[in-house]
Amino acid sequence: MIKRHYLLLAGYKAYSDLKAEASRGFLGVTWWVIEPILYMGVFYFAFGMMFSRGEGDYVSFLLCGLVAWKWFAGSVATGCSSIIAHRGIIRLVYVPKYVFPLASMLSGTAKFIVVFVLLIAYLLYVGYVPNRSWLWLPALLLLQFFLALGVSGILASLTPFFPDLRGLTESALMLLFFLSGIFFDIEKIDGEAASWLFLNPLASLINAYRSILIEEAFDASVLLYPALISAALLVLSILLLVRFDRQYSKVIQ
Amino acid sequence: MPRSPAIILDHVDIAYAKGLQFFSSKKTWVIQDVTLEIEHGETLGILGKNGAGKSTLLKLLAGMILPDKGCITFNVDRVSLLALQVGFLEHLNGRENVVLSAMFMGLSKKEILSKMDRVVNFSGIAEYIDKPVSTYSAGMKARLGFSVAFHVDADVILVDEVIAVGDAEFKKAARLAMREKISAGKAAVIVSHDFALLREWCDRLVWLDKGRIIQAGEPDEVILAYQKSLRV
Repeated sequence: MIKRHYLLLAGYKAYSDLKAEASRGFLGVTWWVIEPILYMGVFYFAFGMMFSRGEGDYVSFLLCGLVAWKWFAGSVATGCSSIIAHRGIIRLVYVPKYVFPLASMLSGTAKFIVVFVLLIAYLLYVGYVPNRSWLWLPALLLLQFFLALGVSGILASLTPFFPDLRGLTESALMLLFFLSGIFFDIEKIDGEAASWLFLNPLASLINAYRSILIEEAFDASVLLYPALISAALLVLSILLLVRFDRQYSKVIQ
Repeated sequence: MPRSPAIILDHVDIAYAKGLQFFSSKKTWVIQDVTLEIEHGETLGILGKNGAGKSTLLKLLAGMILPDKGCITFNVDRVSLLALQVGFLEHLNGRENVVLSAMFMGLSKKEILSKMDRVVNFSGIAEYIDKPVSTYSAGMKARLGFSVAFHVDADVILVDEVIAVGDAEFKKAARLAMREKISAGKAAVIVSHDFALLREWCDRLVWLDKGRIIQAGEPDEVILAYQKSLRV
């Protein structure tokens, strides 16, 4: 169902897109560092300074959430239109369509890695010390990669049939931003609401980043639920992309 | 041992949905009951008015769409449309675009790198090959695009309206190269309105109208019949 050549093509496409992006602007690659810093600066100003209640290390707490969120939201937003955006190619050659969401996920991830390294550097600078639970980070990152890839793949497979999905995705992401516990701690919410919010696998993942990086109290079993959801979404996305593979060049004009 | 044809179409129908594509039951049948065999090494021409289904037929042969009824069998590995500048990115240089484009057309990176010199030489823009494609003229881009597509070396080459690329000199070179490839035994399917070219290049012509094959056979006969129908 999935061929090696096309996985390599997705990788080369991602690399080409990054290279093209870097050579486009005056700032080039430095923009990949500056842009996320500005982005997080805005949120630091809005939430960190205006809403801070002075308890604990709110800046680190907020940054962990924002970094993970930005990777997810950015990947899903571009992944959603990845098939439509390449209509020029789809009209001319047969390419399995999973190449496009995968390529956009890979280039989004490359940019995220830069930001993630910055986050780690910041945490070390302010005094957090790596401990054994940090060994779970690769698994956590991989899990988030597959979650975002699954969601992107599903949206990308449907958007050519329902172009309005792009607008809906934007609104849904906005809602998800407020529901994923990025600037507040879901665990501190009383009653049933917290368990409802944790049905969102992204909320569990963001919570896990914090447990590992700044709370030193990580229980790996919390990854089980998001792992199951990610696997299910990924399988669904592959089924959809394969099912409609040879219909897109009819639909996309 | 007789070889089975390169591509076999058996009572193929293709429909496009009207309106909302996902649910709609209203369909326009753009290819109807087409049965056709494309032999190894054969050059087949397709003739017909606009909207006759010629481009859809090429898409089917290229594997981009599937028949809604009937079936298609491929006895070759690579069938590809001679498409220019597939996947080109403006900010990358010529070489990088050659690799990207060729990979989209199914070549491995290794294969295209081994052909790079030939691609660059044929395009005739060797001195600009390491500059970003955004600095190229439209003609230069088209030359490079043609050169990559040409060197993909499909088993069956599909051509939608013969290459009118670049200046007169390049056009001549491109046609000559195509002609050579075809006489060297590559199968090709050519859609064109150029009777002289169809007569000169093709072993057999198919006249398509409203998605159906009206006539198939000797180029001279099919062209004559087609021209007659136009005069009525």
